[in-house]
Amino acid sequence: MKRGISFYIETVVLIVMIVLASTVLVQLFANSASRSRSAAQLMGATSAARSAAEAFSGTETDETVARTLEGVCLTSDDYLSDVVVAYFNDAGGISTADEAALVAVITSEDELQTSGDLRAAHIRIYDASAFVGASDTYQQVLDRASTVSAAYTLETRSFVPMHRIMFPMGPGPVIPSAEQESAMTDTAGAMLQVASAATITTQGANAS
Amino acid sequence: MRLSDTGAGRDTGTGSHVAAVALFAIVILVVLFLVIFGSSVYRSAVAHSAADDSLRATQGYIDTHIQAADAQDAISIGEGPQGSALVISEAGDTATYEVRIYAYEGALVEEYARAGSSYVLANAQRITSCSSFEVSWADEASESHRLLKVTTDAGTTFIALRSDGEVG
Repeated sequence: MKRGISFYIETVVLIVMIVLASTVLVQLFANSASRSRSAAQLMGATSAARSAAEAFSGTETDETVARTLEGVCLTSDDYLSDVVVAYFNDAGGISTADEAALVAVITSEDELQTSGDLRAAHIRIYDASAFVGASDTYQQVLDRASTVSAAYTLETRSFVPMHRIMFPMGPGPVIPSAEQESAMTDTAGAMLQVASAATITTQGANAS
Repeated sequence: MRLSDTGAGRDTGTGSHVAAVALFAIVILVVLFLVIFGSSVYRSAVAHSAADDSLRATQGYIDTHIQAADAQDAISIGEGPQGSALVISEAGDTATYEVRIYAYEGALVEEYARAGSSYVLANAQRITSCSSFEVSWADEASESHRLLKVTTDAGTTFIALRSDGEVG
């Protein structure tokens, strides 16, 4: 009888130890899976932010950034500021709003200078599930962005020279080739000679 | 008289035997569950890691090449054997050479050749696995191109050319 009781006590102790050990292992595995998902999301978010930053650097206005990223540009009620919302898949590639895994919220500031526009962008990448039904208006997007923590944040700056602001579709300032420069110098020299000859003639005429 | 010799002793012995087998079964089931759960987590982690590696290898390689060679008119788009090709020109002392990056038979390949020569697939070096690769100008309407649009297995990304901004 005593032997039977001790056997059951040992069994209970063994089961408790198995449960404890398996709980610890399951927690470890779950933690590992969670970290793996976070790492994959961070990788996608980094790639999305990099792509958004490149699009920002290669364009002149918020509208063109939105058009390039196939997103939307939302304007505030006072028409003074914009926010660009773009959608990315889990690998950081461009996506549609319905299939997006990540949402990029891009706000920018312009600092106009005599030689051009120094633009600074604040790019924040969020999990798309946080923005479901909250990306229709400027205020909705900013409100949601302020309450949800971003998966990745990136600051970038870009300088847009004045000629690109004036002529966004090109061609920009013409840089003459060596031959063209030489021809222009010759022409300018000839014009100067003609002008100086005309001046001498006029002076001669005045003197006489 | 020993306990096992009686009927009660035989019952206790049978009960202990059943309990031991049940305990053994529980241990096996728990171990099996842990192995299956652990292997699925490991499989998922490896898949994520492989996808990340592929993404980094493709995008990082193209990014590095473009940033290193970003000069006026150095980057252009050519026609590869299976779609578009990214062409990076490099002026030598006597001739201009090109690095051509394009997709061929499920891989991203690189070919170094004299500018204007035809594509020779035998000379191309395999870089990484990539079933699709398309490159185009994001600002096609503009006369001066500043933004490359690169589409790979992972999706579409952009690379801005800085040379245009510096030179004008």
